[in-house]
Formats: sequence, C-alpha cells, structure tokens
Amino acid sequence: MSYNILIVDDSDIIRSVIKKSLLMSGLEVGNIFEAANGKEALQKLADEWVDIVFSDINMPEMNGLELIEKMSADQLLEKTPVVVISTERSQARIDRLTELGIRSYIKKPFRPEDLRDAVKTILN
Amino acid sequence: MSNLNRETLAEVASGTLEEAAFIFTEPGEPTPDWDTETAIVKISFEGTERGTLWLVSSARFAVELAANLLGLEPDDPDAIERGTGALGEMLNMICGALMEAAFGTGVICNLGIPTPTPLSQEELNAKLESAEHAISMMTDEDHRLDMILDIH
Repeated sequence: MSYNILIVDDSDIIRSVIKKSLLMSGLEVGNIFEAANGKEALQKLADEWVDIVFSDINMPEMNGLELIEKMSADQLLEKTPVVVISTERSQARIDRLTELGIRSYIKKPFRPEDLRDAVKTILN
Repeated sequence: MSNLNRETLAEVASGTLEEAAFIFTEPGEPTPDWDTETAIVKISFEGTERGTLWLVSSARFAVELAANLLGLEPDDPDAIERGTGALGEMLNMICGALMEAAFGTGVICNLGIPTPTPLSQEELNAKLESAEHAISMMTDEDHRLDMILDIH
C-alpha cells in the first residue's frame, strides 16, 4: 500500500527537499501534493485523499497553526496525521500543537531519516 | 537579559550552515568592501526583543546553496533560479536557532517571512559599516557570508 502525502511550506526549496527525502526514504509513497500555505492545503485536502500532512508553521495567508486548528475542528480531517516541520522552537507553541493533535514535530534543519522515522511511527 | 548578540549569532549561524548544508565556515571580520554581485535576504523576528536579521552572500554562493539543497549541478537552471529562495530558507533556519539560543524555548517568538532585499554595493557597504552587530564567515570553498543583526 502506498501513501499520499501533502507537503505544506511557503518555501518551494523546502517542499522540494522534503519531497526528495520522502522519495528516497524507502517508504511506499503514492502521490505527493504540495501547498504553499494553509489555505492552499485545505483546498488540496478537500480535493484529494491524503494520508499524512507535513506542514510548516510560519507561512503567509494562513499559517500552519491555523491550518491545524481548522483540521482538528473538521470531522473529515481531524484524524489525518500532521507532522510539523518548522524553525519554531518555543515549547509553549509546540505544546499547543500537541494539544491540537499533531503526531510529530521536526525542527529545521532536519535529516531525511527524521521524516522517514516520523512516517513509520505514524503508520505503524 | 537575552543572549541576542554577535557571539551567539556567530555560533548559531556556523552550526546551522553545517547541519543544514554541510557548509563549514571560519570566522572573519565584516568589512564594507563587497564588490561582487550579491544576494541579500532579511527576516524580522520578535521575542523578548525584536529586530531584523540579514544574510548576505555572493549571488554565486546562493546558486551553489540551492544546488546543494536540491541535489542539482550548480549550472542547472533550476538552481540558478532558486538561489535567493535557498538563501532565504537558510536565514529562516538560522533565525529560528538564534531565537532558541537567545531567548530559550520558554518564550514564544514570531518570525517574519524571509524576504529578498537587493541593495546596491554602496548601500550594503554603508549598512555593514554602521552595523552594531555584524559577523562575517568564510566557507571552506572561499565564499564570504555576512550577517547583520539589527535590534530595534
């Protein structure tokens, strides 16, 4: 079984790096969708089946925290696992994200194996 | 009193470049003598203090950074097009690490979006000359990187 993944980050460089890391991880990756902010991500989530979301926090238009709040308030999306990948380091904000149900938190800069390990933990 | 200063910036910048892109640096002295085409990005931040962090490199280094991050050759058009974006993302990572080093993890910090900010050589050199907190680094491939920390 392969898994569809949505990458949400305003940096197209980071989206490319995450995508490349996932494709080289040995995981069975299906479609990889991309969004540049939370608003675009919600649209993708409405249009496509997504198994895991990787999201940044600091983005224009709709940031990652707003995206996760909206997902956790939506019956169809609340169970979709979210992994946050961010430069954000404040414990209070990480605690808030954890309360909202994120499954993992990865600090930038990250190693490719951090993504693989997060996916494996979630899928197992 | 935070650790938001030149020494913390130098330590954090060097460590982040190494961790994110395997770029090894030695400290240098920031001198107002840029005479090549530059790529310049800045990001605003707010913790217990607020300010703006700048990263300056040659345009060539920015392209090589993009190539490095994307696994491309430096003459790949995709790397050439995305040089400033790569530099902005590197600045974002350095700024995130700087916030943790300066303020700890108990303070909620807000970072802006990394923004390309072209300056003429005269403007850049004047900014370096007047900067209170500036650092310079030389990479192991002889690229110069400067950072300026403006505390408002």
